[in-house]
Amino acid sequence: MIPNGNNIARLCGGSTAPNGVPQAGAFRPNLGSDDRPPDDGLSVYWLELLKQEGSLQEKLQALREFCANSPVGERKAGKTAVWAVIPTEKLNGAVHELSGTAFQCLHMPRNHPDLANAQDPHSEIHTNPPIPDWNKDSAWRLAVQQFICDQVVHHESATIA
Amino acid sequence: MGDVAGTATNAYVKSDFDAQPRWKAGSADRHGRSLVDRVQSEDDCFSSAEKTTGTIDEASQLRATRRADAAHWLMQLEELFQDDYGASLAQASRNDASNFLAMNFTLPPPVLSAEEDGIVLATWKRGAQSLVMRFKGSSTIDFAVAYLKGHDLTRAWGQASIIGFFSDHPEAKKVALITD
Repeated sequence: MIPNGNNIARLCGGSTAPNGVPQAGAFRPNLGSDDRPPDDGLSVYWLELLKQEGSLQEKLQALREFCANSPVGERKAGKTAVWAVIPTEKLNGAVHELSGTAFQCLHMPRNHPDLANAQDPHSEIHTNPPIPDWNKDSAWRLAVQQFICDQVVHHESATIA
Repeated sequence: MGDVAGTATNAYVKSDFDAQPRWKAGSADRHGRSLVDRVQSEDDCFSSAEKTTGTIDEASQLRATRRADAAHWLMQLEELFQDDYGASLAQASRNDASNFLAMNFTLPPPVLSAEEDGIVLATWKRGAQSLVMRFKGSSTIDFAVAYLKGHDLTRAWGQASIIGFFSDHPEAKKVALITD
């Protein structure tokens, strides 16, 4: 688990963050399709793995630079995309009111041959019940997405230098 | 909802819609009522609009303006979605969002966004309180609302029809009606 006192950032496409403000739809995980199984977690990046000190803006700049040069081939940020930042303590151990859904921020390096796991900031938000179960009740899923979105403390363009 | 049963109200709403047919044919329910008829009898926002706007023409104008605004907002969202995914929004979802916003023209404008599969979301957020609706097509929505009950933030969610949603979920309407 990523310790409390750290921050994770999620890349939000412009259509999920109109006017630069992330909305609940930005926190919809891949729920699986005919040719792709559902993800185990919601993909995010661990900011402090790249830069421990400094402001959130400086940490996000380090993340932009990582994404631009990553050998893994990160998802490309469109011109209207934004980063949504959530402090880990907002999710680690948090329990969604009423549904009892629990959250954890986990470091999930991708075992890429050209990127040491210790330098890979890729992480995931995991839930219990797990994300493959999110398909069972779409309204509950929306409520969980709303809950995660409510924890965002900072957002800014994904593309500014 | 109760005060829309009066003759004058019905005459107003029906004539207004008859003059501007915006709904697709084939949406009659098992009672033979068209979607328009169901809207006029079930949407609680009409009655409040009449009270606040005073005249039939004003309410009609507001509704038409909201529909035009919704079309503009959805066009902007379509452009963002095209940039993100090179695809179009889900048409049925888009239509439902447009219809819902026109029906509820007295509400403050929501933020419209989309999910990866092209489904349109509408969000009203005021401080810690928020209402999110996902337009699934077929006139149904998922909704999630976070609202203050006393000092506690309370959450609720569920599925509903776009018709009469706010009558069944007054806590959601309360959040949507809060203005900055």
